[in-house]
Amino acid sequence: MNLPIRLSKSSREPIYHQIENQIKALIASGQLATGDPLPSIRLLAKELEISSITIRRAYQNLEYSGFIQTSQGKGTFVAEVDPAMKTSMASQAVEDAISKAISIARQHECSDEDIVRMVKTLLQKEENQ
Amino acid sequence: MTFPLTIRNIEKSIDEFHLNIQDLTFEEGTISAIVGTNGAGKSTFFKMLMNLVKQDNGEIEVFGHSVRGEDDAWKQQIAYQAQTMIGCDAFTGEQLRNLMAEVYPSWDESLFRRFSEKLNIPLNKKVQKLSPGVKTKLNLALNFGKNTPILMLDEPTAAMDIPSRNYFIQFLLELMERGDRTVLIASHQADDIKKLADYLVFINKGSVTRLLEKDSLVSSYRLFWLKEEPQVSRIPGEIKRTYKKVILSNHPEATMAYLSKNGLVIVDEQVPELEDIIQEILMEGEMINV
Amino acid sequence: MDTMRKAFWLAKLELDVSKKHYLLLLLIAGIYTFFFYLTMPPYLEENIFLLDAFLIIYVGSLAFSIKPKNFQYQKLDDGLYASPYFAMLNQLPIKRNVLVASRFILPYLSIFIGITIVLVGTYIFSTDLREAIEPLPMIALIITWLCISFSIGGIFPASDPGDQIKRFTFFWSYMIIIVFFVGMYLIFQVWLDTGFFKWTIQMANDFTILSIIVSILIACLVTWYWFNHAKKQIQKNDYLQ
Repeated sequence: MNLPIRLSKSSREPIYHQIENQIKALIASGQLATGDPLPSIRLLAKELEISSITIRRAYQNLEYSGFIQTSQGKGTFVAEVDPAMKTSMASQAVEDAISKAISIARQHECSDEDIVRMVKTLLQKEENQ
Repeated sequence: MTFPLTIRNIEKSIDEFHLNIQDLTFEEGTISAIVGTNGAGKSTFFKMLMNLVKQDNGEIEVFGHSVRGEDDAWKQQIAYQAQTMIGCDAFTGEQLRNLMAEVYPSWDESLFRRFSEKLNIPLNKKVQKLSPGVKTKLNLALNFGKNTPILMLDEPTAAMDIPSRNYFIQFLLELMERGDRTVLIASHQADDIKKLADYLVFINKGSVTRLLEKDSLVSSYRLFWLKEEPQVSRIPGEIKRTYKKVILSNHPEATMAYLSKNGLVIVDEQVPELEDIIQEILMEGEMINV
Repeated sequence: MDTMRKAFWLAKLELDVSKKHYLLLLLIAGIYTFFFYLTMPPYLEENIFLLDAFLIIYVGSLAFSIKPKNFQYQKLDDGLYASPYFAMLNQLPIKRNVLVASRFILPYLSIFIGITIVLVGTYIFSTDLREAIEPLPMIALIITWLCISFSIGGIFPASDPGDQIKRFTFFWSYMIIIVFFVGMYLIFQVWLDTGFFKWTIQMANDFTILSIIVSILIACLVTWYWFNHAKKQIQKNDYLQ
């Protein structure tokens, strides 16, 4: 199974962190349900073209924080996650995306007012569609 | 704990060529790519591990057994694929299978059959009648069949077509799932290195780096696009400048600190491609200390 | 015993791909039988050196003719001459004793076949030889020549692991061969006024049992030397190819 994980080349965030957060986001958004299998460490390493050591680290962290479970010989599966946690993670994901947009805006020397105006315009556009 | 492969300060001189390897340990369950230009000594390195080329000094151990000892039983732990299939011309694939099945106690018929059937390897043809690509496939099938804890592959995917190469990668990864195999692979294919390797070892002008974890290596480099050209010819961490404003750095923190101190604006930044890093290391002789 | 069983297994594998070379062996044996049949009467009379020389050359060609090209001693890289097949086997987990022993089996087999055919054949066809030696000493003569041939022919399997060839290596090899033939000529033709083969006939006639014992002893010692030489070369050579 392929996971829709996209690693950012420009981010300063370590790769294992990116993987962790994206898998968390997939779980929070319901794209990965409780009991769903995750690809093996080797397979994901190949798909993302990174070392299995990095994937192992991400999986270990996810397992430690209770998002996934590994059972010997069977593989890795999505664990049962508290709904409240899912909600807070979802808003976290949105905040992250907005922060990224803000940093790009800063590179183009936008002021706070510019950014707020742009957001408003975009919201308006979406409503009209 | 004994490691599958341990190297302690080996040295070898052949005419003008001199190879020196400091301490190097390969852990179980890992794939290491041996990277170097042609003639850098990759094959010699493999052949020393196999005791085919004899080191002048130092020690090589396979699961704790010296390869220079009287007893060659350690060879049962290693499937070694040389670049060329030497001395096999007169035999057919089936005959070579019989030989390998006889001498390797760990021989796994199903691995051999699965690989050779999937790639349509003609097992009843003499090796001398096979094309270079098919020879490589047969060689791989035999080495997978040996089912040994250590696999040493010297440019295994050269001359192989794309679907077969992809199948090879998939097959090797499946073998790795159990976590008790150790693979050393020399390859010029960036794809092999990106998809398979956990560690990289560079061989350059006879000297050998330690094991470099692939992702740490990549993240120790960074490419910066600047708004304007820096006035100094070389800023901290810079190893290469293209289009006057694109800086490749092997010390991203130092570079960023300098840029912000001197008010130079970063327009964009990213980690470089693994190929570019390899290129820098091998062509510019820029040895790394990550 | 396990060593010999495994060595025979390897030799069998090699035999499977070199069967047609045994036809060549029979052909060469036939030609030499005919040649010895023709030259035996004048040889027994006048010790023609040519027959001795050809007998030695025949021994050498026996160990060689049965090998496909890929198994023969050849240039592997700038410094090393060795058998590519041996280089392949050396990459595999085969005990050094087994590996080296397996190299001796087929050349010794072909020597056994080749020498027996030629000597028995010549004995059957040549009345002169039959008059020179009785059947029982003839058996001793065959054993003597088998042992001489093993001792000389052992150099071929012993060189399978290869040698580092330097500038004058081949020059010295040719010199040794020339010295060998000159020595043979001087000892037998000049000093003893006989032929090498003729001398062995005389020995087989006069000291039947002793010549059997001595030749077997020599063959064992020389083979043992070649065997260890081969093992030593494996640990010494760099197989860069």
